[in-house]
Amino acid sequence: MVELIIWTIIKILFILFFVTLPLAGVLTVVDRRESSMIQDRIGPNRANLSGDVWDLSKRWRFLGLLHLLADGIKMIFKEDYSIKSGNRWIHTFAPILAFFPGLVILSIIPFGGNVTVFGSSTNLQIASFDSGMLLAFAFSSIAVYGITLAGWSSNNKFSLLGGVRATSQMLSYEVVLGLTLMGIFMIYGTLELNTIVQGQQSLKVDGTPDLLFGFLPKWGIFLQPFAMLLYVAAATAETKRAPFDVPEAESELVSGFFTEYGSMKMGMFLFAEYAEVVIFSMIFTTLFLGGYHVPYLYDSGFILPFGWGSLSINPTLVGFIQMLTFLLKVIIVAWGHLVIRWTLPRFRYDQVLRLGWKMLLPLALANIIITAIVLSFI
Amino acid sequence: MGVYIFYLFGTGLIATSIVAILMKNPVHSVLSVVSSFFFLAGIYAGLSMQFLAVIQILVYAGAIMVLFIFIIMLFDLQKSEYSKDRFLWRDLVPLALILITAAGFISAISRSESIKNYVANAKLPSNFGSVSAVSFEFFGTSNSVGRFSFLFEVISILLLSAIVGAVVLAKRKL
Repeated sequence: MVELIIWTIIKILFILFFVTLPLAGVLTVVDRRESSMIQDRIGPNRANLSGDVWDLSKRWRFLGLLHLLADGIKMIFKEDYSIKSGNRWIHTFAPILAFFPGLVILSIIPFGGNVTVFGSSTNLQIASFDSGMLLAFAFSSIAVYGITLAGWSSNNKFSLLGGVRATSQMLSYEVVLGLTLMGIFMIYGTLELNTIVQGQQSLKVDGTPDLLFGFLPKWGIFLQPFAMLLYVAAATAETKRAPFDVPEAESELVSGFFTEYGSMKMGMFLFAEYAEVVIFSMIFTTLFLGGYHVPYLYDSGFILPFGWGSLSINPTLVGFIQMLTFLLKVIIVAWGHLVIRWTLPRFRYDQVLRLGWKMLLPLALANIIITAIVLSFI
Repeated sequence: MGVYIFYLFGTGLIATSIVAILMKNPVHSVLSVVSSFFFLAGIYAGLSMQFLAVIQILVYAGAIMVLFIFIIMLFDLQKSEYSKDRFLWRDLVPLALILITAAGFISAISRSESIKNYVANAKLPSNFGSVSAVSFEFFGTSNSVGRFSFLFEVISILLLSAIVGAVVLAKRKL
């Protein structure tokens, strides 16, 4: 029992303070830098430790990561004004409500295989929860409150419009999001994420690898490629980033639902967006990219297809390799998500809702039916 | 352990429900109802019905109450439009009736021998409250029909008719 509690605390601290929050922080800088590269600008390059702003050769810039520190210091020390009209309590509470529910989803994500440290063995997943993905849906829908209440409590027409847009957009796309993943749940026969990950790359009863066409691992991306496309579209809309950023639409609504926010309260809305990107990447990796699996690497070592041989590796080492693989996959998916944001122009608001209800929803339903028919014949 | 979870979440549930009635501002009321749903989900989870707990948050807190907030936002109520009901002594009559009825129920349940026997002999299956156990009751296996299959389908038809009704009301000319 004590062992379980210690492991759980270690896992929570690791996934929260060593993976999600730092990665979300780095993504804020990556987003600014990447946008400047895509738009052929120089971008942020001034923050440095040497104190010399003008001499390029003397600067210690640490790949521009100091901008993260500079942004943080600026937001924390800015004057924290509260609104005069509107609802002050809810106005203060809304950023908290937008930021924290998403972090609950981390508890069900398996970020590595089984590891043994000092003779104590554990699965690198905080909670093996039977309703798994449903918990993720539930808490991502709770995050809507933060946005909605921020828009309402600001007592500003732009904020209200942004809040209304965000609510209807997120409610619509939650439906699509759930239905796109139904095919995955049907194939692997569970909602629990670790079981899904193990189902994506496993050994048959006789000890040979369970592969598609003899060489492809049974990852979600190969079994449900169409659902993957729908999921990326729906999840991008759920994170409210371009091309679906109509709730904050700078050219129409100033800043949308957080127009009346300043200092770290606004920072929390921005940071929540990047935390959502990280969590989206984690779920995408878990469901479609084989989670923590390296291709052809099983618990006891590599087993290559076509009988090209095998290589046995220490199981604990395999566990750590799988953890690093998971992090690498998450970083790659998050980077791809940022590229989408700077590549596509914003949809008009009615287009967003029409895309959700009239195109993605019927396609997701068709995907479920086709998957069911195929599964009943196998 | 389970009893303490029940008392903890039960107290929270009653407190947030009372706050929901007493608040003048409708948005505060809705938020209070949402937190009461979380306490209810906690009670479900304490009874090892984790699927029901998650569905409670997903459907009620995550979808239905968001629609409530959405509609209140669109009404854009001013302070002058809030309810002006004052406290009257006659309001205590329904409260007293509710308390008396509840006390009656509780004493009847706590004295009933058959319920005591049932609780003493009840054995939960090891997967009680999980998704697979619930879906077994609803859908059965490939060879058998679940206990509630028929009811489940009837409720689906009821919901379908509600959807059709909503579409007909919204679009007068089809």
